Amino acid sequence: MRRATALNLVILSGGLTLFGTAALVSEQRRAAACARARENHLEDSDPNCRHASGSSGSSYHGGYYAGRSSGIGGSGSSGGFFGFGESGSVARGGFGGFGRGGSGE
Amino acid sequence: MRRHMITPRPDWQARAEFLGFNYANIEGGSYWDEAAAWEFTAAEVMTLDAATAEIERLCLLAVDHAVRTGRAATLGIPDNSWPLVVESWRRREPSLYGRMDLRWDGVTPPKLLEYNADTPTTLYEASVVQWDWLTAVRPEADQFNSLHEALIGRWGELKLGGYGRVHFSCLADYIEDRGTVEYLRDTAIQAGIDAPFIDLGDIGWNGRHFLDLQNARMEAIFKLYPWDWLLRDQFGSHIPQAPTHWVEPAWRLALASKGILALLWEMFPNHPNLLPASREAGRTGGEEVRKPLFGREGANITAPGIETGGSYTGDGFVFQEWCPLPCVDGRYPVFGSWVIGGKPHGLGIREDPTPITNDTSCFVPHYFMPAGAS
Repeated sequence: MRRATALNLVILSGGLTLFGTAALVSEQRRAAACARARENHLEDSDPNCRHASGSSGSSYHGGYYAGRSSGIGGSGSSGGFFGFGESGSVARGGFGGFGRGGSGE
Repeated sequence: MRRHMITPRPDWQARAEFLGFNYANIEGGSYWDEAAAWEFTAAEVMTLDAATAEIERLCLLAVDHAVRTGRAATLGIPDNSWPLVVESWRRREPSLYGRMDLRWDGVTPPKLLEYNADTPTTLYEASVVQWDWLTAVRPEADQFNSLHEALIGRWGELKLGGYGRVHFSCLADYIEDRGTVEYLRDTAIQAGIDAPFIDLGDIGWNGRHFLDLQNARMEAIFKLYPWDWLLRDQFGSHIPQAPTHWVEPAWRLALASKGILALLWEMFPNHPNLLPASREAGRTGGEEVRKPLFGREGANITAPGIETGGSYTGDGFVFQEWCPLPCVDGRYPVFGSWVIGGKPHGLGIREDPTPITNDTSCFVPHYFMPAGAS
């Protein structure tokens, strides 16, 4: 009645592997997808290439975003996949002022 | 329904570690407790399922009523935050999940104690760890648990609704919060959503948009961080002007407030799944428990012979009829009934040696025998 189906067992098996290493596995997925995009010369428009670490020039932290920001943001445009390259100053640290040992309940 | 004492698997710690369940032990003790398990009949599971669906229906009617009649004060939501709640509801911004905490003795109808509609945790253990336990310990049985596939399905719906990229955020130093967010990221990724993580403190603001560490606009944010804190943070005042979608959406603040218990009783008096409740003391007709409107994890609770500590006393209280949890084998169980995308999808049980469930109360697995099985 409420039992997961056989399909769920397959998903769960994958999920269990993913969880705890979700970032790693998702990076692997993205790297593979990015590699396919590169083969088709679509890396500039494939979001996987913006996140896949280990693919040169496409590191999630700094590489692709940083490069796009300098080119698009400077012109005042908000082009790109989700509007990269905001110009002007960015303030941080404005969320998370309450902690109290965690947020869940 | 029955609580059984059983022998834990000798390798349960290793199994928990394998599953990435890295908060199975907390504060020097075991949070995951498989020295006991609850058994239900299929009919009892149906009772829980039906009660959850019914309470969800009542809750949505209550939110709609609150919005239409301006009941911010009943819910303890400040006037300057109320328009955000109203607008979020009017746009019918989609919800992902929530957990109702129910008082149930298996004889009288389940009663709503509170609705964790904004930042529920205990999700991974309910969805994955107890399912893993079931397959190892009670493979012949069933479990009220379709959480995993329901979460993936719900993310799929959100993706179709435009949530193709969702930043996941919490205070990363808190292991349970981070574990919950990582699990939800996993389910979102399996639904095809682009799901990067960002610590709440790293979210940026440029005067028009919330930005991630790469200064990309954050179109949608899943935050495991309460709306009542979010709105009081330095960036809280920017939220109404930013085009960011939030999961959970702002209207969930109305349900997360325990003031909703008073509104529910006002709208549906004597409903079998509700307990009498009021914002004023002495109106329920019997002994009362006093709960902070925005308290969590059993803090600042006052009940006959009980007073817990905490720091949640500044936003007002609700008074609910004192209906003590049943005590079984010296433990007081609370039945956490999960709602995904507005529908019941699973159960997680927490137990405490005291009548007040708190952040160290143990999680105990459950199973049920399918109808017709002996």
